[in-house]
Amino acid sequence: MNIEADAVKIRGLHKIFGSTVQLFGGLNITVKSGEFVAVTGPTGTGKSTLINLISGLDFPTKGSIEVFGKDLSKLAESERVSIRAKKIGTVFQKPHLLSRLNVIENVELPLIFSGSPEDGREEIAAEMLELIGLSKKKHLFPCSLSAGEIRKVTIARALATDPALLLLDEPTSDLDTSTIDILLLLLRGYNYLHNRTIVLATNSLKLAKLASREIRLRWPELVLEAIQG
Amino acid sequence: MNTVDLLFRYIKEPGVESSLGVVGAAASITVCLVAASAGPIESGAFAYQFAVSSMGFLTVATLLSLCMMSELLLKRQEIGTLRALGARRRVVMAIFLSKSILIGTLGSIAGIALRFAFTVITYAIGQPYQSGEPILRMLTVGSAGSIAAGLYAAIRASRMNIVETIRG
Repeated sequence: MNIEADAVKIRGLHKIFGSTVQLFGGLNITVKSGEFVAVTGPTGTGKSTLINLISGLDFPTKGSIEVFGKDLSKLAESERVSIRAKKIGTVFQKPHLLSRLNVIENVELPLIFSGSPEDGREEIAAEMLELIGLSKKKHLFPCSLSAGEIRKVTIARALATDPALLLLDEPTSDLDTSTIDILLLLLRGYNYLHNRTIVLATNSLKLAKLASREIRLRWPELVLEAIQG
Repeated sequence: MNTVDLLFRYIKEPGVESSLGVVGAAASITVCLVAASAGPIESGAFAYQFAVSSMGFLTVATLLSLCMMSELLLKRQEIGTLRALGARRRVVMAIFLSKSILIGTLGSIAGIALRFAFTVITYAIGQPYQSGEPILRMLTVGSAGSIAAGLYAAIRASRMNIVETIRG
């Protein structure tokens, strides 16, 4: 990975759903490595879609998205999966945990797919759970966790591989105020101390203010890219 | 935990679909074994045995396809999550293929066991069936049917739209 390269470079992005819904309207964004960017905007403007596009789960109708200098839509499936597993950590809007795996095994999952050495996986997953304050519940199954705890596990899961790019889609939706404060510290530290790139899609002004830059999406097109500070 | 452990978690989980798959495969193999042993011995024997084997293959493959597709629907979100987290297509394919083969093989063995029970019963009531039915062939037919069904479900699973599945 070229550390100097832009983490995310979006050019002329269009995403069309059916024949009526057109998102982004030729959006251009560059997110530099180590930057913390918040993507905000009303519901339906495409925040989650943008996160999915950056993570290579979805493809643009027009335009290009480069992640660490590589256009994911032009890569072979195996290469795209490899980049997603090794360099990108994602917290999805819906916190899907695997019901047949316990908490620590759920956090271990991305480590398996990224090819992390087997003997260190459990230790890393345990550290992540310690970090978010769920180490006592590591052997429980998702069905016995609260919505907020499940959300915390998905955050630990996204951080487990120490990804160069962390994508968060409404990460605080099930969390209480004190946990949100802890998460804010965690994200700030992750960005500042580890120099990791964070793209955060949120409706929370509190969370958006944490970022060094806010990209505001508006229906039907992006019209503003405001730089804070 | 490693990939093999992960596969094992999915394969070992008993479910209504898996049980129905085993029962269906067992019934198909039993019927085919009975039909194979009741067929003509000399003229047209090959054509008859081929027809019975083909029927066995198609029945097992169809039943297990239905069983694996319903399992795919139930696990849709989990499979999408696995893929979104970086699981390669082959991991998802391995889950469905190995489970289908396991169900098909278990069903075939159960079917052969049922055929033996059938032989014992018919012998006991004084109307014995001829023995020497093609057990190995039917085991192969059952396994081949389960591989075909598993492959179909595995390909469908590995090509699911990840975004649709994780959005629920």
